[in-house]
Amino acid sequence: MEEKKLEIISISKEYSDEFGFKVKLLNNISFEISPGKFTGIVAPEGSGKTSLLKIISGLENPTRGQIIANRFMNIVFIPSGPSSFPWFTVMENLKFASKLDSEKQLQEIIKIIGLEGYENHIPHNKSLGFRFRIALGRALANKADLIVLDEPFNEMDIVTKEEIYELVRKIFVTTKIPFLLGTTNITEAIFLADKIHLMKKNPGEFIDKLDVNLPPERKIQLMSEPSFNDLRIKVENIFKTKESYKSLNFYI
Amino acid sequence: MRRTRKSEIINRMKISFSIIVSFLFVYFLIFEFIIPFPKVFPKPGEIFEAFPSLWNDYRFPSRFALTFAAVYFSLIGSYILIFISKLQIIKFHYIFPEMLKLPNILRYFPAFFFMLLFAYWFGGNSIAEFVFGFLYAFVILAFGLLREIPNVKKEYLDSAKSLKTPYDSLITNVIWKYCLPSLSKRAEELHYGIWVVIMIYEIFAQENGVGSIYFEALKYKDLSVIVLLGIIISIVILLGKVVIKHIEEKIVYWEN
Repeated sequence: MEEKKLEIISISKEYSDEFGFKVKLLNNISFEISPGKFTGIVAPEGSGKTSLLKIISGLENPTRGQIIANRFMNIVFIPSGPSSFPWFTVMENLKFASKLDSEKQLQEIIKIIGLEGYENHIPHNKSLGFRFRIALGRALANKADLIVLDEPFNEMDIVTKEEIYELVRKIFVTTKIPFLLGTTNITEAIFLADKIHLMKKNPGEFIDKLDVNLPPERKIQLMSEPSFNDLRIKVENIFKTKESYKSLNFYI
Repeated sequence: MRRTRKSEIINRMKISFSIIVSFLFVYFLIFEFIIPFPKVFPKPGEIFEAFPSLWNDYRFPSRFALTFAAVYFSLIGSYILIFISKLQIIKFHYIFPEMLKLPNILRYFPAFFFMLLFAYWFGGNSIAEFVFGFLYAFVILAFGLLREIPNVKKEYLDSAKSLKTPYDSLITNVIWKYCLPSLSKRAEELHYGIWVVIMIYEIFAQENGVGSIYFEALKYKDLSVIVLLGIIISIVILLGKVVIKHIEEKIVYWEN
């Protein structure tokens, strides 16, 4: 059977500001989300990244352009803030989203996201990492064909971030579900993605792209290797030629 | 977290209790021993002596029972009705978002005005008192719910929509649940408000309930009964608050 593929064709988004002037947020963005690939979009703040991700997830409409899938795709969007419901336990959160047939399968997902033994815990007083794991588990229970991540690691502390990076990459490698990540963080994008699109702002446009030729299974130590550092410098150099360079977040 | 909230509530209760006890002690000391013929407040001894009169002459048990029933029927009944009709209320908000402007208009017609109208139309009719209390509580809670809907976090709505949650489930499992903590807080505030509103209504209607005892005590200038009744009602409101807090802890165990 042909694999599911998503094509984003000439997406533009405009809105009217408080004085009624038209502002172009996104301009003519085209790219493809290939099956089994982790795609990253690195862009400065205010470039319209979230809008682009929401358009792809079907939560917003573009002003122009279209998104074409060769077959029906279930796209699950994970926003930047905590999105797991604090009134449900971990298991109830998963059940809320579940398209699976048995509780045994949900139990397996709980194991994958590393929350074994926490099934009956409520997430309202838990860490952002804990809540992100639930959001990820819900996407898996919802049988997502594409998981869209909108800067979900922003507020996490460094230790949690590193744990979650490895977890996300591990889930991607084992499940083969394609991911689309929007971030301002170059290091994060290089560690997680197989292909990175670089985007500028005013208006949001793709300026370049590059393939990340790193091993599929990645550990956090990879970040200190020369090949990783070379890629980071390469991306920085591309952005340095642009005005938006300063608003990027260089996390090492 | 839950334990912390519980201990916070217990601490607050302890503080309230200590304040009341200290106040009563000072009151006892000043008006029983220091000021020989108090005109502002009665002697504590006189308050104790007023109890039989309040019980028998003012028919306290039956009148108190009526007010008590009206207050808690209004509070519980309106909460249950909000719970049953949550789907319709929230859908209604999305169809007519302009409804949120209504409380701004109603501000110029406070409950006091409607209280007078009800007392004028129905006099001391107990059913009218129940209906008035119920409507008052329902309107306060319903607008409390409507006002909270626009505050529902976008992250929750976006992720629920992205998980293809059906509309009704989105309302009951996300929007309603998000609004519950603020609705419970409002019910807690309403508890005090509804006691006051019902008693004032009874003062206007002059026939039934604790309000009518106040009216008669004022008429006969019976200061001891006024103070004694005040103390009894304060204790009942305080106990009611403890019970409501306890129920709230059981129902709303999270923070958004």
